[in-house]
Amino acid sequence: MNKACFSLALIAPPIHTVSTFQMIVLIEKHNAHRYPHLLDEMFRLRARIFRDRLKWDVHVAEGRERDKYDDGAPLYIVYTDDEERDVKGSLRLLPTTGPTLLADLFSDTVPDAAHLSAPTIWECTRFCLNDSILDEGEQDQLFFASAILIAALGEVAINAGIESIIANFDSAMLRLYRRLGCEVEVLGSTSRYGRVVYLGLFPVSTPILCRIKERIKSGGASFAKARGAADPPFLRLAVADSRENTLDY
Amino acid sequence: MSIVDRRPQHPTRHDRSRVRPSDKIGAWKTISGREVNTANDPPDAESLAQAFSVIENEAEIDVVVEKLRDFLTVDHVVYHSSKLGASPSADPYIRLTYPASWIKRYLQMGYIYVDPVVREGFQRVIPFRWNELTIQNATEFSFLTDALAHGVGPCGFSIPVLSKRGHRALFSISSSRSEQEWNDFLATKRSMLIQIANRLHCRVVVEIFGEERPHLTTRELECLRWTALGKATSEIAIILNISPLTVRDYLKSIRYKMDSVTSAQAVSKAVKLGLLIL
Repeated sequence: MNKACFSLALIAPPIHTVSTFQMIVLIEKHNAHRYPHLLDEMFRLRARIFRDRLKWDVHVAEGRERDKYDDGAPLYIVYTDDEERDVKGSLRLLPTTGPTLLADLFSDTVPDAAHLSAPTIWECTRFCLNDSILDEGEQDQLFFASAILIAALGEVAINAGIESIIANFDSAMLRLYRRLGCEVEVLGSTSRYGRVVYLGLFPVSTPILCRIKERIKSGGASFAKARGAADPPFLRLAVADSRENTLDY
Repeated sequence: MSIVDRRPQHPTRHDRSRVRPSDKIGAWKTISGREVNTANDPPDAESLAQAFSVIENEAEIDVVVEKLRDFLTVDHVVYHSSKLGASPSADPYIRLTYPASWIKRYLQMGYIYVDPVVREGFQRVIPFRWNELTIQNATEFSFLTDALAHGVGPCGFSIPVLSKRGHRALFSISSSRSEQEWNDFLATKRSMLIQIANRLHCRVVVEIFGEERPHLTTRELECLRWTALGKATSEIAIILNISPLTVRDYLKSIRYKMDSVTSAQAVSKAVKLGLLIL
């Protein structure tokens, strides 16, 4: 990944009492061996979110949710802290030129979306945030964490020449995406086990990404206040590239 | 006797207040005689059409990679695929422009098991530059030095490509440009490179591995039909009750599936295949 691609910049001036480092890690099959703990945490988080919470029909073995698309060498974007301890959020990306979950799962119910296929259209699935963020119930935190993960997705996409992202999500996530400023077009929906699942198309562009980053900036201050920090925390986004250097922006 | 070009004068050419699709570069008429909107076509459509034409029409893929190398103004082009499910070193299908001396050396030294581009490239899914590779040991480092001595590198860019049944390949280009020049080059050429890489992979996958092309959905055909009938993106969006960006994406998908650079080309092919009747 290009070093210069991550420019989720400083959100607050460096007068701080508490500093929190946020980190985005990009994991593909070639560097997966460097992040065994994070990957494990991610699969465990996915089990808790998709099976336990959302009650989706997913396969869980020994507390970890995995499917065959994980074997297809996707890109994972993992939102974590600088110690790479917890997975605050994660998602999975695959190109629609290859085998995709949406093509297989929604072929009958939402065929137009499921069969969209082009080199610049990629699929995002298993987008989730840590259940502790969901449990605390603070809308600000949830908003902020989602925004970070989505902004990271935007940066990765722009750098990889990805122009559109197709994803599946429920109504709660749809509301969140809209609040964040993502321009999502719902292409169809279907009902599984009494829950509505939408398939949506997200255009990728620099103006949209800037809008999301603006919302992170303005949301960052209120997020900090909610946590009771005297000054807004010094929020810095660092990206670990494949050479294990932590880059500060 | 001299042949003089006498193009018919369109009265509306003098009326600049009304921009017609034919005023745009690349617009051409469909079989029905209507003009197809070019707004959703890639910005470098003319250039891309040249590259696609090479990929489609050259009998041998050896020649395709050579012509692509010249077209792209790089030192070398490599297309490396393997049979479905096999590792990249087992039963590979490779077409490249490397000099015979380097190919011989590569085989003698068993470099396919050392080459970090191959090792990582088949495990990556996002395009990457060779300076992003992790050099794991001295053997790999020696390999890169050896490659450079044979005119490969130091700059490179690889695009992993896939097919619906999972056939993987790596499309790589290399150059002796400086890193800055290379970055600038890639910034302008990246989206074209991605299209070329995928188009080449599609040809190989059909020819060598016998994979069928994916089918077109109702929505895609609807977008194509309205495009063929001369509708603008905004009009199609209203007709189908979707956003213009979504129209754009359906057209992208159809162009990819139909191996076409422009929407007009896709229309033409679809009509020929009987998928679209106007």
